[in-house]
Amino acid sequence: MTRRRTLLLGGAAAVGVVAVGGVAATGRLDDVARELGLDPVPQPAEGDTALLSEAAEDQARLVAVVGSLSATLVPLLEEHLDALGGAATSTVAPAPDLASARATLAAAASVRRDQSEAAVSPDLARTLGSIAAALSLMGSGVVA
Amino acid sequence: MTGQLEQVLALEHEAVWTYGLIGGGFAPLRDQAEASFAAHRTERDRLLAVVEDALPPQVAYAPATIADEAAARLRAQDVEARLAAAWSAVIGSTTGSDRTEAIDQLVVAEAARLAWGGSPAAFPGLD
Repeated sequence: MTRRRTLLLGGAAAVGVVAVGGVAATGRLDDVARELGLDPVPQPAEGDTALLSEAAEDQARLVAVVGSLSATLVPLLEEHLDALGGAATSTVAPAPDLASARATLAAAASVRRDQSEAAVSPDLARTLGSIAAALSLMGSGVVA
Repeated sequence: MTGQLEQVLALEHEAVWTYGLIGGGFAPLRDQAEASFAAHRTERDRLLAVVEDALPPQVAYAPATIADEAAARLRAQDVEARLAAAWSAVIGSTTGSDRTEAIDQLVVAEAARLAWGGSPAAFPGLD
């Protein structure tokens, strides 16, 4: 199976986005560059960069919302945050109880699903889709 | 996307076969295996109507025997994990509602893997 680290190496660098985003626009220039012995690196699609940033910010919020309510969920959420290149925040209050936190996670799953659908890069789409699936299972209590 | 869906369908054939093996071989797991068998048979039939030129199911899938209940649970987790990975590939090769459908199927596969005793994963289909 494909490991996520091959999709989003280096957190916010989002190699997958970089690899796919600008191919169409820069293809001819890339060919020229390769003939010159260079290794061109296309720019990510602008929308994908924004999606990645939004997702990372929201994942930081989720880590804070769950807080100490679940020793199972937090490490998983921190993995998401790490992969997206986000940083923990201390400005968000934890949810009053686990049920409330799960409702927040379920809502975030829906957002992440929409972000995956909006992504141009297939690799970013897969990563956000995978996070959406994980959040969905956390929100529904399948992951307890 | 066709190639990715062919892969999913191939795995659905394998899942149907695998749950028949588990249900027939281990009485304590029969109810769960029957539920999984029915779910995968339904999904297999849905995909058969969608995927053109699909490969037929194999007669058997290696390994064709399962030693005990613990191995049966691991076998179930394995086939569900590979289905999750296959749906993840579909996510990357589709857009719009097809991609959303693939995410929904990823959730289904991961939930099934967990139901068979798998550990929670941060990145279903990618871990």
